[in-house]
Amino acid sequence: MKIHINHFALGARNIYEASERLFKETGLGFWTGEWVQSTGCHMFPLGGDVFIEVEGTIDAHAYLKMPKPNYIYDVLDTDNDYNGDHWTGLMLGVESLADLEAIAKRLGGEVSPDDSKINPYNHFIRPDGYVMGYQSAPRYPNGRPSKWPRGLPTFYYYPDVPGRSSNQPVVARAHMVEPTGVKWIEFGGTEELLSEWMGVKKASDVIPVRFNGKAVGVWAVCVGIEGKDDVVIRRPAAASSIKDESIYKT
Amino acid sequence: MGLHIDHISLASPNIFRSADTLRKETGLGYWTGEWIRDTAVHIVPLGPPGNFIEISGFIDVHTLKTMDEHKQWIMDITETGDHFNGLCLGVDSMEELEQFAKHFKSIINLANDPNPATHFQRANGYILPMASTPSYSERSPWMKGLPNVYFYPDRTHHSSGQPVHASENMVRPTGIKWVEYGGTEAEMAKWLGIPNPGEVLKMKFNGKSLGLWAVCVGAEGKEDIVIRRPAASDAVPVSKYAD
Repeated sequence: MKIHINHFALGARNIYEASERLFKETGLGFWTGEWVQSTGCHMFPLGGDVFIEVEGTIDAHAYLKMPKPNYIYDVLDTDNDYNGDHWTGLMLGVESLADLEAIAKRLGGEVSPDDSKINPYNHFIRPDGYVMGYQSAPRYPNGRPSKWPRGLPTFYYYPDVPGRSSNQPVVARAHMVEPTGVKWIEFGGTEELLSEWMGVKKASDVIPVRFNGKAVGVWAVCVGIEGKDDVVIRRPAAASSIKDESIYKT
Repeated sequence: MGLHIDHISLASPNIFRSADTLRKETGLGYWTGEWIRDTAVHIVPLGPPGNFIEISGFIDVHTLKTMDEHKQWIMDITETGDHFNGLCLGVDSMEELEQFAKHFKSIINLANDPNPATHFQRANGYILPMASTPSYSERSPWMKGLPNVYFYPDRTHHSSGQPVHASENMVRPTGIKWVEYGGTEAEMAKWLGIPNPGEVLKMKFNGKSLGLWAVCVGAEGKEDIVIRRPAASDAVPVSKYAD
């Protein structure tokens, strides 16, 4: 089974402000308009079929109806040097549904349904009408086993690689750089933990990951840039800003 | 052009969902990525001479920590779904805008603040210059169901003229044919200081609460499109904001 980095989620209070700031910081271009339910995303292709989704809640009424306390809201409400931005997810990719099902079985979870054709509003939608079909695992409808901390990556199977968010044109603007792919990521926790979760001997042999021993989750992403120095995007991992995780039900 | 309709604001609880719904309802395309502070707009061009609907809504839920009268109004009028919450008129020069400011006994909001956060910005880095009246320091006339007036010096980058996301079965809009407004022509004439707003602005009046209730858009080779949504005053009476 081949496992690769598929994408990163960068949570933001305001995806528009955060994307503008990330462009100014890195020169990376982005495109706009994708959403699912109460979440909107601005997409930063990184090269090599990988992307960052800058994501945030774009429906105030839906937010008010969500159960409280709300984990992501509380994470993003924590002030930092990035207007509250936190890395909220690492998403790994596999190349077949069979691989995804094997991962779900090994981790005692489920695979999300492939219902994009019959239930499009449960899926990411673009302004051109494209509905993104993908499946992910493991899902734990009855709660995540306590053995596994928050912040570990989810696994995805995206059958439509040309349609993947990494491969759509960005909005053109002056002084954009050309990304050439992810060079390394800095992750919290230990290599033993991530390796066990991924079901591999050594995670760093499979994906370019370094460990800092802090709260589990992404802490930095290094992206190669054509003709320029690499850019390193540092933000705190979501789990680092939560004092008592036990109060959150979702 | 003289005084004309420039654009229409459609307040939404979820601008992404509302734009998708409107596209499916009408075939009208839209573009994305424009924002100011805690609010973003998806723009639906309506054709010549340069009109558009801005579907607007909060995209930063953390803004709810510091409420004010205007934010509460937006929350109240979007609680039950989309509502037309603003008719935005346009003029062709600062001189004409100054005449309206004088008529409103107000001043012009000038786009001269060097802080880009005070302006509409786009994903390509463009910062939209515009001027309007009455002043932002006063309660918005939108809350009273009345239009305000704008001057956009840069017509090349006017929101109506930017390319939409291509999609299947899109229609090509050919411009606003009429709008349906609450109240009476006499009320509108008094507010704008002109004798015949119905004729000048292609407005029909339905006698309901003040505000926009419908817009009719021509579509190339197809029947006209009528977009009906309740006026904001249907959700929150304008009497709440009487001076």
